[in-house]
Amino acid sequence: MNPNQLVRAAQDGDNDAFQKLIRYLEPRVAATVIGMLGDCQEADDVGQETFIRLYRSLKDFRGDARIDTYVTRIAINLSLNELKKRKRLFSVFSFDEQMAEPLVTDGREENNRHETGMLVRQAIKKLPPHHRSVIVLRLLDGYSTRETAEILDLPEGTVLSRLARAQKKLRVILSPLLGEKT
Amino acid sequence: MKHSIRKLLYRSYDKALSPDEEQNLQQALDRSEEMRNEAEELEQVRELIKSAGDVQFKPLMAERVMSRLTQSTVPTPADEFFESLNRFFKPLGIAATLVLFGLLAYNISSTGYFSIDTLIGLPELTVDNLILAFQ
Repeated sequence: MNPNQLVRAAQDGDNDAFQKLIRYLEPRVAATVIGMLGDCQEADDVGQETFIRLYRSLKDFRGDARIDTYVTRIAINLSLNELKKRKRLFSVFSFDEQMAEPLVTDGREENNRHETGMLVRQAIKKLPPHHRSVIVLRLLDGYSTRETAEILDLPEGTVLSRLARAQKKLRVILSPLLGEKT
Repeated sequence: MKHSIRKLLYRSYDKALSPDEEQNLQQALDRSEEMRNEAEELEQVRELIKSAGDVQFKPLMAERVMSRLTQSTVPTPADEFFESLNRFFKPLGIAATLVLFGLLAYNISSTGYFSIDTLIGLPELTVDNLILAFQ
């Protein structure tokens, strides 16, 4: 069954179809949520919540948008809410999340793809949420600029300017890694 | 000039440029080594970020979600208990409210004027009545 058929079957109450739909959407939701929050327990919780929200709103899904765009919108909104919660928590304890994890690299890890990925995610976590969301959607998830704008409900020009600023910051943050690569 | 070219450089990755803009950018890249380095670094940053997208949730995400959905749709014994209480007391509450409103209307219509005392059917509250009540 293709994703549209899975959606229709799930809308008709077929739980097996919904389970298959979760498996199909999982990589995309994982890239969005883990890109936004980092690889942590909260990301797993937000991932579960994303699929539960999708299940509850499936009856209202009329197929105007692609199912993966629809679920990404849920995932990004829940992730932004989680970041707001974190910000409140960190402000209570006078602790800056962005300073929590310094970008660390050592010579042994530079060739390891997994470690590089981890360092890049650390760097993305140092961006403010509105920059982080455009980077995650555009570069990690691979949505077009227009789709990114639609998901975030922003004008395309705003997405472009945020992308430019975010990439300038990332160039600075990732400079140790860029130096090693060149 | 440099600022606008830099803007074009960043935009070129995310939106198609017009032929004029493309030409301007290409000329700037041909002219400036600094700009070429920046473009190269930008390319690297984008590749690095794309490579970081290969992540996964903990195993059995689909099964965990389905289990949560099943739990939330099957009522627990406590849910069933409170539901039965609700079924029993809800009509009772509505009937009691209607009776109360009936009594209030009766009290007001029989005394002919509106006050808190008549509303709840109490005798007029005076010092003498209070003394009598406590004797």
